[in-house]
Amino acid sequence: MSTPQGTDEDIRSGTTLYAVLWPHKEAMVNRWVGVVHGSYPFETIGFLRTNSNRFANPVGYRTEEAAKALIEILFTDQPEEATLHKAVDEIIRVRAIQDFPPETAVGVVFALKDIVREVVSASGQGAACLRAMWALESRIDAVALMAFGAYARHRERLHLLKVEEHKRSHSQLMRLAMRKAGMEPEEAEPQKP
Amino acid sequence: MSKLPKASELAKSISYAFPKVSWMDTKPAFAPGTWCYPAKKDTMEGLGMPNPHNWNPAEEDWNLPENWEEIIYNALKDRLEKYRSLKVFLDICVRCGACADKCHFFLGTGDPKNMPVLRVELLRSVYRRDFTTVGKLLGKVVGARKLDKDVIKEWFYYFYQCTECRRCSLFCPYGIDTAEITMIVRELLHELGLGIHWIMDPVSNCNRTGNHLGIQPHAFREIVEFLCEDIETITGIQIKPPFNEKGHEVLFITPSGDVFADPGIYTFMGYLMLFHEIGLDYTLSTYASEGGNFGSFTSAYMMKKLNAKMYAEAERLGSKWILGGECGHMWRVVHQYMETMNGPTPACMETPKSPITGTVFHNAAATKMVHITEFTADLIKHNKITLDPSRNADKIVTFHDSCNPARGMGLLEEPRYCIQAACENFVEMPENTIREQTFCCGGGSGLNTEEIMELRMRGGLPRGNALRFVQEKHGVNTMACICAIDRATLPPLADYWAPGVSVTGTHELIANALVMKGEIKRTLDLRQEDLPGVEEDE
Ligand code: SF4
Ligand code: SF4
Repeated sequence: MSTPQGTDEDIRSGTTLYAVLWPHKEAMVNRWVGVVHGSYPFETIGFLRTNSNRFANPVGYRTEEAAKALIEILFTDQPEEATLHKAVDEIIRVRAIQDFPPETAVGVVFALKDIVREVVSASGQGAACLRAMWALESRIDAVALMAFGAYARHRERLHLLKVEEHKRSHSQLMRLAMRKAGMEPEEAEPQKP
Repeated sequence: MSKLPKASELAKSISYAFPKVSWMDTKPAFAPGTWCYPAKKDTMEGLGMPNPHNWNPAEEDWNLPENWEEIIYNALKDRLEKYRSLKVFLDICVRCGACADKCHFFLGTGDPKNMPVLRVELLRSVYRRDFTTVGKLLGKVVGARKLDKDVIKEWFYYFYQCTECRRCSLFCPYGIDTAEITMIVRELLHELGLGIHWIMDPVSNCNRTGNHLGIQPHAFREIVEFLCEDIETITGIQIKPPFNEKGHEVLFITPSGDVFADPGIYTFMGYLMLFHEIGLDYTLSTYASEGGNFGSFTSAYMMKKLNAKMYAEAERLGSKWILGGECGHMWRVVHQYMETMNGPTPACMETPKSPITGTVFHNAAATKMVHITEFTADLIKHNKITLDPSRNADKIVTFHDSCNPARGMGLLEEPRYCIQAACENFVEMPENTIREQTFCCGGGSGLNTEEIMELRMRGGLPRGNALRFVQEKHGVNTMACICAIDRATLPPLADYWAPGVSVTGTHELIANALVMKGEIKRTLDLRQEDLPGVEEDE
């Protein structure tokens, strides 16, 4: 990933940024998880935070997985795209059908910027980190776009589900109607299995 | 110009401050995709339901009858006198919270009012104020509140976000059954003329023509005959199932979804093939052409009425017992309510005994109705049918325990036994998501309607999440079930949460594997796709 404002090289050579962020890795994961949890009602947050069984608390689990994958982009040159893609996809798959406006569903990715900035500015090393920060923020933007793509895909899927369900639920009535109209079943629209 | 929000603000950044309003004062927003369309006035009139009227959940005014408070008060009083369980459930909850995180709707929506304990609190708060002394005296302090129109809206919103699955009751130390509360609150709402289209339309059709879609006898028969044509294409065997014939030993009843809808039809073909192969003396009925009972999602009265129809037909046809297809809530009705509701079965009926193996189903002595997986498991156990699991070799199968057979009647082993006899590859989903702890499909209790697909996907998250896990870990590509609502609701669930997994009834798998006397060399499965290994042979 390379941008006019900053490059991967800047992040790497910007050992300052790396050094500033590294001790806060776990805190940043937790902070981001907190932001996501904070998008749920107050009474729900405690549960999301405390139950770590991935089947008993699917939202909490997916959030943690996404957080871990996301935070890696701060520390790796070549973030493993497949892992990142999967983590983003799985969490957005949840948020796309929950009661969130699109900007809230996807916006959690951008929250990482605020989290990084807070850590950097608290360190007093802001100026030294500038170019590396630019590059890093571009990376975060790329992940946000990834999330946006996932959101659009899942919403579209949701609408297709209705169409396909309708076809399935009337399949034999359609067949009866076609037969009455003298048409062969093959002429009917193919059904998705 | 207002300030642009920051990303973290958009994500409603966490606030550790206490919420300004308590749950009692937060009102649900009726956003599209979260509520079901209302029942039509005509339908409600035709069924003789109380206070039929036009209304729209999205509008402010629901056109409630003028004396609506009195109606609710009397209706609740009546239920409290009639059902001791209701009073007990309302009185004994200690708010321990053991049920709170067990509901799939809570897990999927994150909405605290979908915690079973809070769901019941929506009714309990009103009960407390009007029916308990302490509530009358202390009011809000003890969680009592006045009944107002917003409470009615809240009931409608949240008691149609409960699929009556009973998962929560499994974890409650007192066995409080939220599903029963939901059934009562839906009854109360019906007293005000509030019901949903997706439930009341099938109830009305079932009441008039015998099945949910209102398909008349001749069309019903024609469709079954199509399926027999398909069976002939696949096996070379001609099957002519009897319709409405008197004097057969068994009356077979299954949900009509198995006859009309994909992929249920393949399960239905499976039943017919099995009956043919073992030479079962049975008849189908075009009048009792529905095993489903959406009456049970409406009121005790309606549940009783629709259930009685099956037995009236058994009596008319002189059947000795009823064999029931793969259905969920039909079994809950039969197993849990039928005897109290409808009393003894007709005199012509006997405790079911398999004519093939001689096994007597003592467990069905009261209801005279046997679940088809019990029946088939018994056939397999006695080596009465030949199965060739290699015909299902392309499938890595998992099993979704449907809530009602699993928690409502304890049917856990038989379906697994059938599937494992018919398939080479079987994988269980994680322990805390199956058997008694199974997660609902998200569309039970009449919530399998299209307009709330979004809500269904939320409710389906825990099931979908477990399915996704076995898909990734073990390559599961098929999810079997024993419920017609599941066969309707699981395909979109799988499509969304674990794309690539297809949904099948258990008897579809059985029939694929069933080696039939006189069949042609099979190259196609029931969906008329190549059987595994066929291409290489050619
Ligand atoms: S019965 Fe099922 S849907 Fe209803 S509150 Fe309990 S767990 Fe939730
Ligand atoms: S588990 Fe039972 S007693 Fe505990 S809060 Fe839930 S309903 Fe009440």
